[in-house]
Amino acid sequence: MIEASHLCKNYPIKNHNNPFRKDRQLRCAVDDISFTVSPGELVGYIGPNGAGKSTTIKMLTGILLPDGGMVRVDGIDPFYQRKQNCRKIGVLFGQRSQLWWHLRLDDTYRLLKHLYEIPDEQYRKRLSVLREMLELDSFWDQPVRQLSLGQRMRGELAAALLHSPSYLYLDEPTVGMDVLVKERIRELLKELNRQDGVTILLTTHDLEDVERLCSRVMVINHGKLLYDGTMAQLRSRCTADATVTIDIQGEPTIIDGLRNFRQKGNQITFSLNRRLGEGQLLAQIVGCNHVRDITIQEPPIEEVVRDLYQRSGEEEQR
Amino acid sequence: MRIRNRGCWLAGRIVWFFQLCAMTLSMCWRGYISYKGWSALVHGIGLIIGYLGEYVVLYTMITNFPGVGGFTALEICFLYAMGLVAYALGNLHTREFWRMDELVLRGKLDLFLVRPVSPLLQLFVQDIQVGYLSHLVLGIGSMMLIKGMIGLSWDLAHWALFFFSLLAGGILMGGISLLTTPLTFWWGRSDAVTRFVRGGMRQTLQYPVTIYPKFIQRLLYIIPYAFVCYYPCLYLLEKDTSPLAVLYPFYTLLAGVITNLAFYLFWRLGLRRYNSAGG
Repeated sequence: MIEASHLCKNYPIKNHNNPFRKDRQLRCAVDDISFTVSPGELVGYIGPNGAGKSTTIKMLTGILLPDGGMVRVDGIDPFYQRKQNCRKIGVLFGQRSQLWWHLRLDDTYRLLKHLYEIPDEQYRKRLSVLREMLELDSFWDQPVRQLSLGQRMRGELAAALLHSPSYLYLDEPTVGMDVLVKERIRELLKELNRQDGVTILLTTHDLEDVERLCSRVMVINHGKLLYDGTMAQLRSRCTADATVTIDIQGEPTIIDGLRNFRQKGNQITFSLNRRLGEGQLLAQIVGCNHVRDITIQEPPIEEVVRDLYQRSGEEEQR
Repeated sequence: MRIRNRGCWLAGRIVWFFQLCAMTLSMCWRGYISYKGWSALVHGIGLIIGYLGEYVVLYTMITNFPGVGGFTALEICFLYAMGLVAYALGNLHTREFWRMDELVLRGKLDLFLVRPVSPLLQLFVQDIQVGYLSHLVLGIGSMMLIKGMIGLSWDLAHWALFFFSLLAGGILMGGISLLTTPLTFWWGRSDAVTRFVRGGMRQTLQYPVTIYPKFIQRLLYIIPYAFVCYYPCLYLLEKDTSPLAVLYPFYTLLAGVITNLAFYLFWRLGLRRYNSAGG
């Protein structure tokens, strides 16, 4: 179980006009964040650039010492009990490689085997599983510098998983990848989570990642946790509009108060917002027409999150 | 029984450590030759020319230098060669720290912090400078030669303490080379200070401490260059014949332990301020 309570991290800002002055201004990167992640969960951690995602991950993994609050991973303090913690966690930084650039994947893996002191038998088994799962065989004999981004990321993932960690932290694992490769990585993560029961926490900009993968999502902006819950609940909290399209038999009967109303033959389209109590309108229009088909398109997840960010910004200004 | 278990455990750790060194060495070497065959060759030639340069300096000193501070020219050369050996031994493992700003400001240190082995140990073995072993051969060879020319006759204790002094000097020199690098955690850079301490002040090794002005002498005790080879040489070259002189090589070891410990604590303190990079 990952427990974070009242986590804070400040970065000092240098005064650029006069680097010698010592008025220490602090930028708050993470501000009083608390959550727990239970074993077996697959959690998405999202937020705009500079929101504090990576900083949080770095505190959870024991890279950074929190300025306030505490982190426990299975009761272990990741900063002060680093070695114990590191045996249980795997970390992948999308923007930073731990593979030896001029050598084959195999070389890095053997070094990691030695560092983690993985027994021979277990290493052989684990490696053959990972080779198959991540399809490493096609580029097994090439030096890392010749691999494509997608191939390299699979290699990185295998490196992070070699010691069979029970917690996997991924910092922007799909950054810079094309659609197909992204899809492949998502599948793999799902499989890992389902089959091996690995607890996964991933940060991303790509909301599709979260939508396709995560049972739970945490949204952060300006260092504050805005939302922690399921995807469906996140949508229902949203003030953005859903789009309703209705196919009607015969001439449509229109009622007042429909926003963004469009008619195209027998098909009508309008916006609907449940938070404004507009569900009534839908009932009315269904009541006075012979409806053939209804589709309600929920607002795209980008919209939902943008809405959340905007509201957090407004609250801050107040 | 318990002590024996402890012993086995320690032996296991040491074997593990040397295996690790062998692995990273082989990886560095294969990475190095994998794509730059020609430049590796040119680099090798450059190194040989560099070492020949050291010979030229030694030769020039022996033939032209009258001696200073109670040391003859030959004895100065002995000091010089000993400094060379200590420097080479002490910097086998410090290469990664020359790029401290990259580690700290670019957040490369992150990768070493998520593995179950001390990040310091990983950095030590990351880029071992085998090339320095040639300094070692050169230095010890010269010292043997000079010893013959001076006409010293050493007993067993002298020989034992000679090798002990080289080792202790290496440990001390390693500590000195690393001592200022954690400043990067506070300042963002430390290469200027480190270059002064590891490179600039190193020049003081080749002369007896007594020839320097008082304030520099004091500095040589604070950053304990005085103990790297001057003190052991007082004993080895029989400059100080009091019975207590036999302790001088142990001063070197003591200074080495203290310096390395200071570095370690300084590093630990710095790591708490580590901010990594990126949002």
